[in-house]
Amino acid sequence: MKTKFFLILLLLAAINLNQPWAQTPDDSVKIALQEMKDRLDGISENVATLNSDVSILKWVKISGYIQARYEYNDSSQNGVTGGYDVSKNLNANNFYIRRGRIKFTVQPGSASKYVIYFDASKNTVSLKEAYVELYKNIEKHNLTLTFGQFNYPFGYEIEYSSSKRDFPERSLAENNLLKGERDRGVNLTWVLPKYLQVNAGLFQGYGIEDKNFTWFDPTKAKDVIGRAKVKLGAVDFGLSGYWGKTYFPGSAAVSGVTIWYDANVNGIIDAGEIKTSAPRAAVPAVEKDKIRYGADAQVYLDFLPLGGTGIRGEYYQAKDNDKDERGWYFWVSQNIFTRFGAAARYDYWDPNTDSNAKNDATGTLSLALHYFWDSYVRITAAYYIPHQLKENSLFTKYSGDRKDNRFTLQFQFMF
Amino acid sequence: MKKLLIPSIILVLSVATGLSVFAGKTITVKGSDTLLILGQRWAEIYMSQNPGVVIQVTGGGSGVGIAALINGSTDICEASRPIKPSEIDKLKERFNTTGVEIPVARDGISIYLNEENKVSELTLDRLKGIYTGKITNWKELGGEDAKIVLYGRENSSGTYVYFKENVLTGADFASQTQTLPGTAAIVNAVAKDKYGIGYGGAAYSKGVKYCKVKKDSQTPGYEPTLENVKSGKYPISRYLYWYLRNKPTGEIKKLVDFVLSEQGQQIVSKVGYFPVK
Repeated sequence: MKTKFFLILLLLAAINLNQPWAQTPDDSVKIALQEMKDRLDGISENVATLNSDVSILKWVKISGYIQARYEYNDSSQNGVTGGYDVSKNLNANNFYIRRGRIKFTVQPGSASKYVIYFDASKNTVSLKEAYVELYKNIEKHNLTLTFGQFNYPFGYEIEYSSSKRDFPERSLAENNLLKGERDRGVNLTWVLPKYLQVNAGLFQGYGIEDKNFTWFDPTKAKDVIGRAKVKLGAVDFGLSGYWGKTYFPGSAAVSGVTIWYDANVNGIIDAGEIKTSAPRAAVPAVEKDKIRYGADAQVYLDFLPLGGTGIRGEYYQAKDNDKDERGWYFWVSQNIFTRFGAAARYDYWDPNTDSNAKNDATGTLSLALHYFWDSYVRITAAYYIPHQLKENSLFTKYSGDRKDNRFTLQFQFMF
Repeated sequence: MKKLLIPSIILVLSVATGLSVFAGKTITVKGSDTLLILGQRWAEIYMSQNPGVVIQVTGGGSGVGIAALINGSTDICEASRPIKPSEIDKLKERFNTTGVEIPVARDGISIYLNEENKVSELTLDRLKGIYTGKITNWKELGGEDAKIVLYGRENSSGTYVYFKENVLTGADFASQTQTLPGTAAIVNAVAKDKYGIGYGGAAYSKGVKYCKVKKDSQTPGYEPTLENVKSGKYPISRYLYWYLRNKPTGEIKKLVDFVLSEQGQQIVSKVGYFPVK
């Protein structure tokens, strides 16, 4: 009996030794710690993988803005042209979306960047920009090669984003000379940090809003654009040049035609029953010089307790289709603490400096007030007073000036 | 038209004025994580001496602080790198100003190694080799045969930008660099990782050892001490900045004067950085 009891005890002890609960409290803690460490290692591996995945998302930056407007025009009338042509609205008092922009930027490192930029406004979606940038630093010299569809490297107004500008629209000169502000081409930028930036590029020359040459260029040679900008802290200034050609398509020759018809059926062709259209000679296509020169300067002053004061000016001289053109603006902008701003601009545009027609040139006084709702929203009230100028005058308005003042109330959200 | 214009302007202005927050004596300070502790110390002492003034100090990185200065969401930006020309351009566009730069302290960018690491000094060239991924094993540097584990900052950090421009001379960081959200996190990681290496401000050096840095193989190595940073012997030192949109006035001017005062600069030394005066 004793032997049996002893054997049973021995067996139980042996079984117990093989069980984990036979371990000491220290062993349990060690095992628990090891388990915890293994779990943490597992989580660390997962986090490392997650970090790697998330870091790819950091390559992508999405930005954009919306400009929702109400516009009131002195020239507005009810109806459409002739009462039937619905494509020509006589009323210009409207709520509308002027710009609805979204930009996707992908930058995987410091050597390259990809950008695609869309605009959705006035019921259409269009591609504004799509380009690749390559970066190369050679000591203190930074080089950027841009290839695709992007801003013309010309003048100050273009490089100043519409989302930041004081006035809802750029000057008349810029709107006429560099319509759409963008084109397809290649541009090399050389930056000597802080002080100097030089751009030189080749472009199609028709911009992104040309109705005839939407994506192709009828001339083999490309337009050349160059710009140099000097930054001296509170004073910046730049010079720009554009040398290109504009192709004007001709028209085919038209044969002269004589037709007759015996309308009164009297068996004789009367004089009134013969109609002759004159032949037209072919009009050959021509290429005309397209030249633009620009000079701009900006001064930033910090002397008023209200906030910063910006003074900006730009001059354009151009030649298109054998006509000389000239434009300029002078623009003063004042910040009023953090949330307010006010600005005034006078801009001048003469599409034909050789002509002294009474309503040839236009001078526009623009006034704007801003309220910055938060970091993203800006509310702007702007008033435009355009007037046709007397011959050879920069400011005196022509007595037959049109009734065309315009008021704009704009809400902008930018992110 | 004029009938519409004037009421509209009055409407915009009155709504704006009614909703505008001219936050009296609340000053916001945002930016560099390197400067975060120092900024908090300044704020604590200034607020204790000027009851009624509230200073909110937050980090996020120099880039985040400068972005906040540009979009108007902070009064003062703390930055561990100089503002970039492209950022000044944005200030010009939004605020018609070039900004005001105030150096408030000096810092030696410290190279952190685990205390058990046999390596104790590195040249700038070797540091570049390590962080660009050309040198991958401590054995190549006189240490153990073990893979080098790289810790670094996110690209919004001024320390990241400074290190990239001045140590890597513009080259990209190796892809295996583990990015961490603050210098404290880097020190913590290196303290736990025998084969880790990290970089950051001098104020965050607990639990790790400083690596001496040599300009080249011919010159001696130096630690980021006050003497070495001031004398320029330590090769990777920099200014730390405050940036404002406009010339300081009112309470912000008083705060800036305090930071640059003897008392303010003593706080700089206590936190572990180097005074500018």
